[in-house]
Amino acid sequence: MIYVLVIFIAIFIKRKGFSSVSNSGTITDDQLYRLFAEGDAKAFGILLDRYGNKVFGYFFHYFGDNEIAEDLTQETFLRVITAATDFRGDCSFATFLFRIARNLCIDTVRARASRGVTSSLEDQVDDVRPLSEVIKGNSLEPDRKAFSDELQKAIENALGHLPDEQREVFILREIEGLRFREIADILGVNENTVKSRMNYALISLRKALMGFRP
Amino acid sequence: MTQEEAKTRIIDYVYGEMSELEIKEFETIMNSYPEIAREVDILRKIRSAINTLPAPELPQRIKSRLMVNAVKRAELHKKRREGLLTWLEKLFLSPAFASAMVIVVALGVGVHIIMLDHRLGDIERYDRIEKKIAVQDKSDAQPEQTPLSVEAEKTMIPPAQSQKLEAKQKKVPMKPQLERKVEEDTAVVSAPKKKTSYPVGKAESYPTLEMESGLPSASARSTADNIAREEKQDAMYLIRHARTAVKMGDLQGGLNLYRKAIALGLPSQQLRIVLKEAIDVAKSLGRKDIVDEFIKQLDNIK
Repeated sequence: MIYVLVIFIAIFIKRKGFSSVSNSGTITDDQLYRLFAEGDAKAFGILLDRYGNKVFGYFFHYFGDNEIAEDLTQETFLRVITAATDFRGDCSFATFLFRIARNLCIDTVRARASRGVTSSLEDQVDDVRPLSEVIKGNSLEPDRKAFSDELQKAIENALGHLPDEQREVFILREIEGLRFREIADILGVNENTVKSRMNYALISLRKALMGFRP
Repeated sequence: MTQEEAKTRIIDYVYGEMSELEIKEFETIMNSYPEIAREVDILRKIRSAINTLPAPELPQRIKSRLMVNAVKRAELHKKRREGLLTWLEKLFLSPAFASAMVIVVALGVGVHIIMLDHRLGDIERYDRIEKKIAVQDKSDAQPEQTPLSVEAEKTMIPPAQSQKLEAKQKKVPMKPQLERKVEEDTAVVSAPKKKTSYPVGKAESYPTLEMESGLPSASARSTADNIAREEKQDAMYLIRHARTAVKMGDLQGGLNLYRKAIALGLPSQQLRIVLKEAIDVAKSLGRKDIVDEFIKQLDNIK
């Protein structure tokens, strides 16, 4: 009985052909990643759509460099592709992804430090292009655009002066929209530590944006 | 929630990491303390300023490059998975594997039946021992029999048991059957041979060696041997189960089985060893009452 059942299941799975992502909206990240591990490339496409910009934004805000952000985003997703079969689901896909991204951040900072290059935005904020220049199709009116550019520059300046640990928490929570619990998981620290770092980051930003009025 | 707690949780409120109940509590406090409300307002403004930052977009060429890699890797995963399934399918459909499975199932069923039979045999044996002990108890409780009734019994019971009764009548202390059997065997070997002449005639009319020596016949001896063997087996069976019961912590159950084994009377050496072992177990479990009982049983053997 069991014997016959096993044969039928094997044939059924083989003929069905593993896929498919029919309704991507309802499928969770973890399910998509597992589907990819089973050979469904479309599932990875959906994950890339969901997280590509977020990871890119994380690197961009962290290093303030478009090129580095592109390289590191590519490297992060290549690692995600390679590690698909090893994913056990101990944590959410987002946590898994940002852990890889963060490790790459740390490696890059160390590598740059050993080469004598500045480790963060801190010393290069003045040279950073406004974000709007990085974004395609920015269609703000001239006045508003000028103000927006000023504000962006002020925020980027303030972000660049934050200590690394406060900046990564701020980016992950404010820009990437991760919850404090998830950030604590990614960084491997206590949730209260994350909140405390976030508080300090907000105080610094508040000071930097004090005189800013639209 | 107190005012101080509310101050530490402003960040949770602004970032929406509070439950419905907590939000209500926080808002109640916020309405009473304007400094908290002001703090919340500032944080909200900072957040809205940050939200004006346009989200950076990952260039399409990077996405395409990543997708090419993903497709290659997915093909690899698919092939590996398909390969495994094809192998499984082939394996399960091969006649050799099917025959092996049939043999394994048949063996499994066979073993199960044997085990079941063995268990049923155990139950039957236990019932038989129970009955035997009950009969022994009954016969021990009976008043001294008259020669007539003994004679009547002699005609009904096997020779080995009739010898027991004879011994009883002669007030000779009864020996265990095994010891008696050894004596009988030696008697057969050492008995002096009488010189007798026999008339020529039919073979059936000649007296056998046993008849001449006054020993029980071969069939009577084999019956006695069988009984002795059976009693020994029964006792060993009880001892084995009693030992298991004691090891499993069922001291009372073990004790009952030992009592039955002692009632059968064989074999005393093994009984002594296992009873000492049971005493140790009972001592380690702190069951003084059972220890005393076991000691009593040990004395019974002596």
